[in-house]
This record gives sequence, structure tokens and C-alpha cells, in this order.
Amino acid sequence: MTFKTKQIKLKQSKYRPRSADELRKLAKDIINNDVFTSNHLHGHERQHLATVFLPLSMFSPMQKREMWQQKPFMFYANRGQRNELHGINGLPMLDNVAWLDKTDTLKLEKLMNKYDEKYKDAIETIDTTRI
Amino acid sequence: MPLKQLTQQEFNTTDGTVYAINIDMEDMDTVNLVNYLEAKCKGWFMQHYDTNAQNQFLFQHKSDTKHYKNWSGWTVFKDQITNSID
Repeated sequence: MTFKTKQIKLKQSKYRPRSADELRKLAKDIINNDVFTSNHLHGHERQHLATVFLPLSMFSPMQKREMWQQKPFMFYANRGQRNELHGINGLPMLDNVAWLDKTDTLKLEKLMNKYDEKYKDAIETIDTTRI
Repeated sequence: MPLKQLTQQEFNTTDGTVYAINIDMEDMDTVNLVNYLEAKCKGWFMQHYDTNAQNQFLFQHKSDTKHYKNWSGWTVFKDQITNSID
């Protein structure tokens, strides 16, 4: 019978701010449906983040501590292709996860709003286009 | 009286040094161990799931790891006696 003991110095985990290029790429991937985010979920579905972003359920308490110290505001994950699983609630089950803090999420939303405005305009031009 | 078993939420705001201890043992009854530690520990403790360290617990004070050793030692001893009788 052997006990293994160790001393652990708890680390302060810092969020790595994303570069403008990384945020632009992420915005494009979200629009192309290549990335799924926690903002796609309804309020009540957000209580079960770990059923969508599966690695969250496998984090050890130490990993969870490091994650919460980075103050995550939006989770996101690359969507699988044909091998993507779906839960009984119809939501995807993704085997990877990353997150943005509040500042980066707001920057991303600003980029996405640009797309929404253009998209709305494009839809309106259909009504005014002569056939 | 507040529980000595730390919740994840409390652990998220904890700093400093902690002491981890584990023993490789199948079917360890951690429910009874938690009750024992609640009664014996001076500081907080928590169960720490780790695929590389079976039955791992974290302790605020190094001195509290002896309670883990005592309980596990007794469990192994009790199993040995029970198996020898069977």
C-alpha cells in the first residue's frame, strides 16, 4: 500500500486575448456554421453547457478552476463534419472547446453585426429587384 | 456549521499551496471517507478526479493528509481480514 503525496502551488491562470485576425477568422467560421457557440443556445439550454461542449464535463477541478479564473463569457467549438454527434435535445455534442472573455466576445459581436446589416440589406434588395 | 469539503465554486477562488494525496485502490468508498474527513480535518479538503491519480484528495493543510492515510490504511487492513475469513 503506497500513498503518493505531492505539494501543488495553485497557478493564476490568465486569459490570452485573441488577435484581430483570430477574431475575424472566428466570425467568418461562425457565419459559415463551422463553429458553434454558447450564444447559439437558448437561456435554459445554457444550464447544460457540458452536454454540448463535452470536454467541460471531463475537466478536473484544477482545470475548472483555471478556466473560471479566465472569466469565460462565450464558449465555442469547431463543428465536426459528418461524424458530428447530436444529443436527444437536438443540440450538437462537440469534442472540443475554447472560450472568449467578455472583451473579446463584444469585439466579435461587433464584427458579426456588420454581417447582419449587410445580410438584411441583401434580403431587402430581393423585394426591389425587377424580375 | 460550514462544511469542510470545498465546493468547486469555492475552489475557483482559492490561492496558495495545496497538498494532494492518493492511493491506487479499486472500489474505494469515498462517501465514508468524506464523512470521516469532515469530522477530523482542521482545514478544507476536496475530492480531485484525476485519471492518473486514483482516489485523489486535496488538502489545505499537510497535517490533514494523515487522516486520509489513517482511513485508507484501516480500509485496506479491514479488507485483508474480511478476505482471509472468507
